[in-house]
Amino acid sequence: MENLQKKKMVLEIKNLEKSFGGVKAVSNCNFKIEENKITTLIGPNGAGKTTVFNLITGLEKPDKGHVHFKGQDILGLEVYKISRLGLTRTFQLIRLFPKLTALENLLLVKSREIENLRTTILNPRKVKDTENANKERCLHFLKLVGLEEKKNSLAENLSFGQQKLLEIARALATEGSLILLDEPVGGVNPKLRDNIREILIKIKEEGRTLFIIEHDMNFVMNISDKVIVMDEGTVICEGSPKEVQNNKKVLEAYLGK
Amino acid sequence: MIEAYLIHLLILVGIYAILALSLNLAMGNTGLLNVGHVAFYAVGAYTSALLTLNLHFPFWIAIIIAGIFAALFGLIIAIPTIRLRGDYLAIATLGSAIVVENVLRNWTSLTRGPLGLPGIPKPVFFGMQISGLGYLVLVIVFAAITYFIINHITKSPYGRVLKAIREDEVAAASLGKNVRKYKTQALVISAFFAGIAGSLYAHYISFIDPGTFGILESILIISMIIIGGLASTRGAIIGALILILLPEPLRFLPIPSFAIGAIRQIIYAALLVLILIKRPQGIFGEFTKKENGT
Amino acid sequence: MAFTQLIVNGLIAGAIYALIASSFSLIFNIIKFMDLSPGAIFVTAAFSAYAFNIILGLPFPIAVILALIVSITVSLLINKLVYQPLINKKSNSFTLLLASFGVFLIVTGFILLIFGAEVKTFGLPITKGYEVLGFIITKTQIILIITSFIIFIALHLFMKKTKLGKAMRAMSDNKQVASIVGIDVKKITNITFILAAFLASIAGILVALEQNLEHNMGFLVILKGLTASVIGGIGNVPAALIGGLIIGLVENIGIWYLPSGYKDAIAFVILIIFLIFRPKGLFGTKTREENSG
Repeated sequence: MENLQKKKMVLEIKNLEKSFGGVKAVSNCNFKIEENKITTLIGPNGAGKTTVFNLITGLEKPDKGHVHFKGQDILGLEVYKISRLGLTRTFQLIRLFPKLTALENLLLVKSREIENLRTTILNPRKVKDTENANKERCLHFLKLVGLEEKKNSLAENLSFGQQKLLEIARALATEGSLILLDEPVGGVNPKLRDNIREILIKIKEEGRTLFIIEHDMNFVMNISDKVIVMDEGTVICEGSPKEVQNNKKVLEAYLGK
Repeated sequence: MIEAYLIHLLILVGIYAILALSLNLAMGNTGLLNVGHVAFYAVGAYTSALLTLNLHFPFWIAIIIAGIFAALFGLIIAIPTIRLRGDYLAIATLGSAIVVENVLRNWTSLTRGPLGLPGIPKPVFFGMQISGLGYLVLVIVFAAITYFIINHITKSPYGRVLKAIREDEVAAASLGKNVRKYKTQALVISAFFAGIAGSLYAHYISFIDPGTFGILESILIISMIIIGGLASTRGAIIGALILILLPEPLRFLPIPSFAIGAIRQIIYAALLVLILIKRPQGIFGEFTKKENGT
Repeated sequence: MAFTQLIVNGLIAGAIYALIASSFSLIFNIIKFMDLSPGAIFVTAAFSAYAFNIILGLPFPIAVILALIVSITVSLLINKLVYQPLINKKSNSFTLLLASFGVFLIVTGFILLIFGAEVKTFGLPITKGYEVLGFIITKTQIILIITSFIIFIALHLFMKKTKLGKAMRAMSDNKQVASIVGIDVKKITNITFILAAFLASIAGILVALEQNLEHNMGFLVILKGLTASVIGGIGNVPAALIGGLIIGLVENIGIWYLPSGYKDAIAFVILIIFLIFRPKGLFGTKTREENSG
């Protein structure tokens, strides 16, 4: 029974702890992310949510604790190595490459095998062919978010909403085992928010696993299979949206004690 | 005689074009603020000169080894400095260039210090010495090869990663790119071609000394790529052309040579400052005309 | 050469580097950019003092005052014509560093043009110097050390005790808050540049007196001064003093072991080591830098 359960857990966080200059940003943090589900992480501002993302992806090193991704201990691995294992993230403040086009932003995540010097210089034919094949694949993701017409526009020339969509598309294009989305609908208008919600549900149905930080409660409740609530650096509650909604500790955290 | 003068200018343009192209790869495309690029130029020049003078290597082998030595030196510089942020990298590379010049000046047993290395031989091709127009052809060939290779690299998916690193290192790493590896490679390749340019210079002028490779040279090369448009391979060549030709009229004025040197320095520096202030995109803006076609 | 002589030489050089380093750190605190213009001011002051005193024959104190006026004016011009436009355009720090380099080259170029390439000197009588405790120190060098010492104390008191000094420190911590609290940001910026120019000018005049003048004299001194401020912790003005002394001492003691020609390289090797292992410097305040990868 235990083994069966372990197989379905894509990510396991144990006793995670991180302090910045004496202030405990994250402490005693434990949770698991189940495969093929959408899990959301909520909590008041300053609860430590983005820090948790940073700890998982290797941008910050925890003071204590463990992070297991697909059964492997990824603590201390460099950011790019963790990403290559299939763990992708987006950022709260959009981090697209402004002077690359929408399509190029996506191609970047797909062209690993042709992005080295040897192939570039010795095998230009392979570069060309792989690039063309990748273009097809990337167009699929652009279509998914409705940006195919903007494929040759520079990322910096897209509107805010389009940039949000592109950032999500780029994360999805990695086709990683776990995709972390940091406030994917932060600051977007309701129509776009519903659009994004549909895209994410569709992606989940295709077999992806999503772990989302969000503030928008409506969005969270409508999309999540499981909700994890953090406050002041610790997990105070987890469960289905309904369970969490009625939890006293959660209400206290948001409304103040 | 006008002909000889023009050939001389074009040879210099060609050599600086190679320098500008090489720096463009590291700075313009990858965002590495290498203010000490002249150090690679110097290593290449001295290596080539010493190999031909002391060990009687033929030019054709010396120039390649010069490039390789410069590349190795680039690797040595890269290892400690590549992870420094922006202007700290600038200061560190500047410091390295000064150390290099200092070593060249003081390691007299190898480099003859401030006396320099005179009598650097011209290349020989099937028994004939190459000079004048022949040398121009030589430089053009090397410049063309440099252009071709660097252009190919920057327009490839590999070049796209370099650009992404320039724009946002953290995002690039978060997407699986080994940022340190790419930055190091960019610097090493850039150093290689600068070394080639150094060799071409040494065998053309026949004399080099530590003073040839001062920081003003680095600033000059940076100005070339800024004027030409950062990350624009064609622009690098245009920048070289403009900056080499611009102060030439001074030569014909009846003023003492230190004054020509001074005015030349003022022109280069003032042009740089002006461009930095006036360019609406700031230093890393590319021309709106799309450079990297996909 | 007695070891004590090297120490004294180190202190003399260190005092100059410390002045330059303080100048850097003051500017960095206010505009948060690395700026090489103290180098230009250094040379300007030296040559102005020379021009007023030796060429025009004015008495030395007058020449110094005039030289200070000239340098400070140049500094304010540089700030107004070059730095403010760049800052307003939200240029990145490398742009400003590069521009300041350009400014340095322009100023040096003009000095070369105006004064020519020959080395100049104030022609002070060459006295034997006092022999104390195994080292020799000349009158000029004593004046140099005392002047620097007085300036550092004055600077320290100014920053700590006066209203202006406190305003400058407030601005360095947080410009927005400072302006909300009623600090006149523009005025304080100008005063900072004036103060920084004053420090660099004194350094230039002292070096001109002690050694000689040539148009490129600013280059190495400035970069070593920058090194000193990085070592102390860029932006930390009191630490600049320590950084300067360290560079001066290590450099001069270093040539006990190395051929003297390598002296200049020593400072930069120290710089590179610090940038790699301790970019914050010894007493660094804010960690602005992030390492990559």
